[in-house]
Amino acid sequence: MRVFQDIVVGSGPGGAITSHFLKKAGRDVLLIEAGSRLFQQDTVAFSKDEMLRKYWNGGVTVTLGTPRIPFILGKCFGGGSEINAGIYHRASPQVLEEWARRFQLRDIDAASLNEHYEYFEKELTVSSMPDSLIPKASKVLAEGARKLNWKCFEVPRWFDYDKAENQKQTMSETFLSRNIELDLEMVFEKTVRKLKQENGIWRVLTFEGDSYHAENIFVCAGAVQTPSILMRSGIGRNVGKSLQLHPTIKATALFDDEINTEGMGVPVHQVREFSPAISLGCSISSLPYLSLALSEFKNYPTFARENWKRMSTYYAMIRPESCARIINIPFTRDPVIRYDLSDRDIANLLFGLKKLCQLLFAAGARKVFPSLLDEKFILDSEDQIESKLTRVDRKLIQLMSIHLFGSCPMGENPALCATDSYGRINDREGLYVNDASLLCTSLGLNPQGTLMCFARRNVLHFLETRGG
Amino acid sequence: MARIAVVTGANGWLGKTLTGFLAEGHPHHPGLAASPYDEIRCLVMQNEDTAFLQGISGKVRIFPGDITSRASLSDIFATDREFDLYHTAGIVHPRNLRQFYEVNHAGAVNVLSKACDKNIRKAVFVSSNSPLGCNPFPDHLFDEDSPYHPYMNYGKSKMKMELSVREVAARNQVSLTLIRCPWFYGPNQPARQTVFFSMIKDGKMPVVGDGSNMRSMSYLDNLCQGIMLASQKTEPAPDVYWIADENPYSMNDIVATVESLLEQDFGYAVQHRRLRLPWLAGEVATLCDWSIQKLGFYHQKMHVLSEMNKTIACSIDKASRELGYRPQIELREGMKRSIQWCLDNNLEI
Amino acid sequence: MHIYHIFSAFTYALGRQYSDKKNFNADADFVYRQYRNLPWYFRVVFACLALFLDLALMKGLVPFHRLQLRDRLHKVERLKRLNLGVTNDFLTFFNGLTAFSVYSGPSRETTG
Repeated sequence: MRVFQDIVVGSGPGGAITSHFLKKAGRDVLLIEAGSRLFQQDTVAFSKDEMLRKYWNGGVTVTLGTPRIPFILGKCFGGGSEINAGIYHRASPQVLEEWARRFQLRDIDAASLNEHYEYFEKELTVSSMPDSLIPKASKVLAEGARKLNWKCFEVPRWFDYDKAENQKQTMSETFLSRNIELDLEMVFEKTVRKLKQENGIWRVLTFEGDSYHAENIFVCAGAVQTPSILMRSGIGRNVGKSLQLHPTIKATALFDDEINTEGMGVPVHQVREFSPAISLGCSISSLPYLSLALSEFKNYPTFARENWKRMSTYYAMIRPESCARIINIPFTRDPVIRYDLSDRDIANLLFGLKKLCQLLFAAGARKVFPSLLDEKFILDSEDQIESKLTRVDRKLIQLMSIHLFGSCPMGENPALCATDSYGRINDREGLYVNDASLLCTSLGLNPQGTLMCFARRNVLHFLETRGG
Repeated sequence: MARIAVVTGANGWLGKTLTGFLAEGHPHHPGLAASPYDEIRCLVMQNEDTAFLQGISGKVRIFPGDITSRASLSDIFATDREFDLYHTAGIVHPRNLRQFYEVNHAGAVNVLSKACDKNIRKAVFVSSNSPLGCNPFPDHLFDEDSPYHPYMNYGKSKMKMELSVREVAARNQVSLTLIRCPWFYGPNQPARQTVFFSMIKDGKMPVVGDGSNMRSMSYLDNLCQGIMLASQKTEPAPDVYWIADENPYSMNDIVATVESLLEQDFGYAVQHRRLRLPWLAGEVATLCDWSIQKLGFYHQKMHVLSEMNKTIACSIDKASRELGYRPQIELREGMKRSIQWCLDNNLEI
Repeated sequence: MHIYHIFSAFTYALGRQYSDKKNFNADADFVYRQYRNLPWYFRVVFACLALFLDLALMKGLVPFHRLQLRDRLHKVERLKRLNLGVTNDFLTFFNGLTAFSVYSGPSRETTG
């Protein structure tokens, strides 16, 4: 029987970084990934093919509750980092202060975190887009914000703009490629079912029937699968009860000028006037996505095809007070996610939508299609916003979410936390969580930057204290 | 440099027409206008009348043989020159079910294996719609990626043929193209097709259901164009194309077109009636056909009736995209030429 | 196979809104593969619903997935007008994926 020193479950940002630093320290490490060994160039970004091959459940699964919210998770080499837009943020001091206070999270002073943030900003070439590359659809948002005198920023991303292709510095481009050079052992298409501790050795059992052994396990399977695995393994305290999502409502706008081009990608501006409660930004607006956005308006079936160059989709994302719960169903690998948005969250979403529409009209939109399931909500001018969008049945609201985290919060508060301040599961020797599940509360922002920061912090702490 | 063409089933309905185009070139496509062959070797059954084939061109050479017997194929492949193989031999309405597999499957494998021992450049094998069965609904179209769902024993035998010849070709690194063609029509037709015209004239043509089910059909000249274009593709990986007329026709259209041709162009007195059967009758016939075939027998009329309310339609997008296939003859013109051929050959409609 | 046919009968009908092409197989495949991607509890619901609708939207003795396009469009329209929660979700799923797929271009994606 081969016993590894460490097994890392999942190769997303958490797992890629964890396995990298473990391996670099000379340890005997195995990385287990549920998805396939695909690199960035193997699929076209935001395509049908990518959906089928890199998304968890093809990106078509939803939370249970009203409204049901589709959510997107990566299931591939590199996890979420492969399929997101690469938008980078640091956590705000207010959020960190809350984590220290409510969750009693230790050792998160700005100085020590900054070291990690700066490390990734350098390693992943976090940078702003050269002005010449910024799409018009993005500038439109900035223009609207300027007219309304709202705060608007260009968000940096982990992109290497000096490279001709594969600019996005995903995990498979960076840390996982380095792992391959370090000869890290990896297995693919194995979904972990259960973890068992026997005589001080951890056994990892998969749905495919394999088992692997190690002294330490790092569960980095993402905010849904990590708690799901832990719960199946009989570890339930504060696990899977506080999953955070960023419910997002969209609006697609038609302009006079051409603002969209083939292969535009995701525009880079964000409006932070209402942060942290609400942020406004740009979404992927390729023809298939525009068509999807308009597919429920039955009198507009070919509208996107005819006008796509003048159209783009934008979003309003809230930092909700509600959180979701992960419920495992015995004998199966698909957990149910129960998510009921509070009335206040719904009100916030509608407020965000109104502000977004106001901004789009200020920027010169001729027509705005909010993602509400009825044609009566289509707006032709700014003065219709109040009358049409004030009372909306929650059943008609179409939302989506891309950021999932917080399902196993870290910290020393036994009432709230699933792990200690460094991701170790309480009372279990050698079992760690080190992915987005650890983040204590909603950031109101893309969490990958912060998750990487904590993943590095935690794995270095592990190496210092135990793995030396 | 000129090559040899080897045609199996050359004395069949399709074989005769194809041999003609191979010898003389095909006028419908600029890339096919000149024949690349200086010799057409035609495989025919023992004791068959080959006067028609021999009358086509001096390039034609007749080789008696039977594809179910490997030994009998030695003569036709006795050459060291480079050749293209056109496999059109097959059996649609057999005496018993075993024949389906002996001829359509084992026979095809025999031919390709024999050819692979020699200097073969390209193999084109004619398959059918039947490995895919029937379309689920009338506007559905099969394409080259549609999954196998063979329609009874004929379909199964053709599916086995497709799978086996792909394997043989891949093993021997021979370039192979499979041509799937639905119901074809045109001159040189067998007697059962003349019956089809007579039934329409006499108002006895069974129309099952409302007749809105669709059929892709392939006029022989169009089909030959597709086959010959496929032979120009010499990529090593086995490939498949649907070849048919541009669009499928509804059963009603087919009957009405023939009716109007018979009446207006050929001056026949036409009954303008149909033998209307309820949709369910087609389903019952399918069940009977299935049961009969399960017992190991084959009943031609039951089989034909069972297909009357089914849609069998395909998309030729891939062939037009990749081969440059452009069918030139449509239903009316094609049927007109078929009827004319019957009259020219003193066949009574 | 049966479920696949029912799904493709829906996709072929809904696809007409978005394109005048005739072959919607790539789109039907995409929708079906996405259905296979759903968690099993949604898959069960969708399969039962598909089988139920196939019979509920029958015309004469002909099940939905064998009807002509005209009849299927008519049945889908009526289903929309019924405005039931679960059938709406079913149609939204098909409609959204069909639109997405049709506009994703003609090529069929490769697997594996």
